[in-house]
Amino acid sequence: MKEQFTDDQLTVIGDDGFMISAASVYPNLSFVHNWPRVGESEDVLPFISIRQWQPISEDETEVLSWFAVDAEAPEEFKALSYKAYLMCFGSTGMFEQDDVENWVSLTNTAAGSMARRLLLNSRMGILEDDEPVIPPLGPDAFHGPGDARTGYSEYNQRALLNRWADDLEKPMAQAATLTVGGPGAGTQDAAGRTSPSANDAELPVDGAVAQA
Amino acid sequence: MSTDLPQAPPSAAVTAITDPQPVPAGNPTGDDAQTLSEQSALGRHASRVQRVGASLPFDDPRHLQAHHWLVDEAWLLDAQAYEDWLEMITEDVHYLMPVRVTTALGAGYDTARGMAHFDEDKYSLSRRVARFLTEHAWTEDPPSRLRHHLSNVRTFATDDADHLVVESATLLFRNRGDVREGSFVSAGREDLLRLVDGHWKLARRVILVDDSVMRMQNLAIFL
Repeated sequence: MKEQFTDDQLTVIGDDGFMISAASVYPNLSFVHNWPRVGESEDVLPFISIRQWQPISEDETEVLSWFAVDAEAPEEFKALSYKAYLMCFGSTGMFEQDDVENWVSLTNTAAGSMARRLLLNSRMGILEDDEPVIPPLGPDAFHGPGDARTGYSEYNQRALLNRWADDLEKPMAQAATLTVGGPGAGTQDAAGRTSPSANDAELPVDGAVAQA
Repeated sequence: MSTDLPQAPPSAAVTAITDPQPVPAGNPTGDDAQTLSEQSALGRHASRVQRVGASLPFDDPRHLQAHHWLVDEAWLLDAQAYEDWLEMITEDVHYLMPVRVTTALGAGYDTARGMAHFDEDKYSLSRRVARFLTEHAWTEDPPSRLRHHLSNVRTFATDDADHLVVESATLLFRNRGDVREGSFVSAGREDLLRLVDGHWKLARRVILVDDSVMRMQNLAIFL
C-alpha cells in the first residue's frame, strides 16, 4: 500500500501524524476508515466504507452505504474487514445506530418553534471578533492541501455551508444539448448554438455543463 | 369439470428461503455453496442441515415445540431481554439478513451478493447485546416499544432428529416518543433449531426482509 501513496501523502501520515478516519467530498459523498476488534483477540481490523447522503425530503435523507476492500487482499482479510464494517457501520452498525439517533434528534429539534425563532450558532472555533481560537497548521506541520486545524471547531461545516450557499445563488448553468441522429456528434456552444461536430463547439467558459 | 382448471406450473411453487440459489462467479465461499447462508461472506462455519419433506402437521409435537420456541423468543425480543435471548442460541450460530434488491423475474436472485444487514456469529451478536447494556447506547435509551408479530409458522423435519427447520413471518412494530410515527419491518425467516441438552436452540437464521431500502432509522433490534 505504501507504494500507492505520493510523497506528500506519506509525509502527512508518517511525519505530520494524520491518519484520516472520516472525510467528505462536497457536497454529499463521504468516506469512513476505522479499525475495530472483530473477535476475542486484541487484533484490530481496518475497513473502508463509502457513503452517499441522498436527500429525499426536507426531513429525510437516504444513506447509501458501501463496504470497500482491495480486490487483491487475501480472502480472510476481506471477510474480517467486511465483518468489521458490519459491526460498526451501515443499518446494523453499532456506531452508526447511535449516530442516526443524533441526526434524527437534530432534525426534530431544528423543526421546533425555538429553532425557528433563533439563528443557529455555528461559530465553534472562532472568537467574538472572528479571529480563530487556534491558528491553522503551518506548512511544516501539515503537508496536505488546504487548511488544516486541530481541536474541535466548525470550520469544515462553515466552509461547506458557505460554498453551498454560493452554489445556490449562482445562475443556472447553460444546459448543453446534443443533436441526436445528425451527421456528427453535435454539441452546443456557450451561446446555445448547436453544432454537428463536437470539435466545432466550445463549452461554456466556466466549465459548468449541466446534463440536459 | 373442475379437473380442467388450470394447474400452476411447477415454477410457481413456493420456494424456501434456503432453497439452492445460483452461485455467482468467483464466490469466495466455494462452488459447493448453495444456500444464502452458505454463500454469505461470513457463513462458512454455518450448519448445513436442511429440511426434508413437506411441512409437519400442526398437531405434530415437533411443530408444537418449534412454535412454542418462536413465541417465547418473540416475547424476549419485545422485552429486549437480550442476555436471555443469547441463551437460546448455539455457539456456532449463523444469523444472516441479506440486503434485498429488486430484480427482473428471471434474474434468479433477489439479494445483494456480498452485502448483508446482519451476517453474525455468536461473538458479534454478543458484542451487540453488550453494547445495549452500556450507558452509551443512546439509540435505545429511552427504549423503543417493540412488538414482534409472529405468524405463518411451518416446521420441517431434517435427516437428524435433533434438528428442525422452522419458517415464520414476523412483523415488527417499533415506536418511541409521542411525535414521530412508528415504523414497521416485515420479514420472512427460516430457522434451524438444534436440540442441545434437552433445549431447542437457534443454530441458523436467514431473514428475508421485505424492504430493499430500510425505512426504519436503524436496525438496533433483532428479527
